Amino acid sequence: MPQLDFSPFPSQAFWMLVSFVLMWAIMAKIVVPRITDILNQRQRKIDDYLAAASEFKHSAEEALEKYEKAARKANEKAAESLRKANEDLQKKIAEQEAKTAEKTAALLAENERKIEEKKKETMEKIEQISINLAAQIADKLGLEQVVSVKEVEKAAGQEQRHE
Amino acid sequence: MSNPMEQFVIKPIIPIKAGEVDISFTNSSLFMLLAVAAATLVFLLCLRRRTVVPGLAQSLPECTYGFIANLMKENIGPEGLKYFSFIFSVFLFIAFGNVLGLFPYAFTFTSHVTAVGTLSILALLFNICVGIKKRKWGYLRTFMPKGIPFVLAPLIVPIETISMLSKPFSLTVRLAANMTVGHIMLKIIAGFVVSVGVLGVVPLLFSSCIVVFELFIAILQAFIYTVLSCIYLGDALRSH
Repeated sequence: MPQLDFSPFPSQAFWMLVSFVLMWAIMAKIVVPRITDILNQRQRKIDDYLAAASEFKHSAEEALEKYEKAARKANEKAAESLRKANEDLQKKIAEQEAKTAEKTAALLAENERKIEEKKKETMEKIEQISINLAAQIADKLGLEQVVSVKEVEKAAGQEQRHE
Repeated sequence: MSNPMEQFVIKPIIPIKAGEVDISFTNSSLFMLLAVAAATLVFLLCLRRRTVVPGLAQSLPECTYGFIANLMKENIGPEGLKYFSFIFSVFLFIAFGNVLGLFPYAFTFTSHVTAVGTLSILALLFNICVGIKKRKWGYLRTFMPKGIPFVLAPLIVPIETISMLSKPFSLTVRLAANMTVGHIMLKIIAGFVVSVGVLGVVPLLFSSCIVVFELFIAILQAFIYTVLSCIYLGDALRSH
């Protein structure tokens, strides 16, 4: 077998060393740096993109936070004004009610007073009429004792007090 | 039928003599340089346009890089990447040597114990240098691992020495034997194609299959050689 013939060993070893060292030099100096360069560049780019993406995410989160804050504020404001409006309304209603009640009360009092007056008037009239009537009746009956209107009035007054 | 061993004969192309030593430029030397040239050419062509998003061509060097880098990370650890170029060169040199040898009329220098042996010894020397540089005197621990009683030293030291020296030997024999057997088989079957006439179609088909299989073996053996080199380098870098 020619493979087991060791006579060409020096030549084989020499050229092997030359070729391999050449290969090693080319790979170490040219090929591998180029590959690592590409890979590094890619890694850098990926890192950059990732960083940019996380930045965007951050700013988006910030914006969301801002929006939520604003929304919360607006909500609070709306609730506040709603409450105020409600309060005002309640107040107005109460005021109106009070006014109306007052008016009604005044009207009622006035009417009552008028009624009372009329009643009194009427009563007085009735009294006058009854006195006159009583005097006339007594006159017609021809009672001896002349009863003066003054006496009848007196009697009516006593009668009234007894009631 | 031609001699299946003929393909392995080393023929000088340019006789060179350095003093008494014959270092002629042979067909073997030619294919060693061709392997270097082919690897360089292929890789530089693939890396011609360096884009961040790799094309089909650029994927080849990148995948090879990733593959070897992973291999080294697994077997040596992240600190092993310092010696990346060496392992990378070993892989490409053997892979291209093996594949080039599959071409008709080509010479397979990886089937020669003398050639592969030189590379293996070079790798061993590289390991020793790296080991000494990294661990200084601690490298001697390779021959006398920690935790072993001093009394056993006369037994352990020779065993460890033999173990270390047998590494390049096993690497060499594995690769050279695989390549030799494959090529002999190819040659013998190819010989049948002519000698049996019309029926030669059968060995022709078989031979075609074998070529594909040998292509697989060529890459596989380069891979095995590389993995073992990685493991040995890892052993040299840390005490076991």
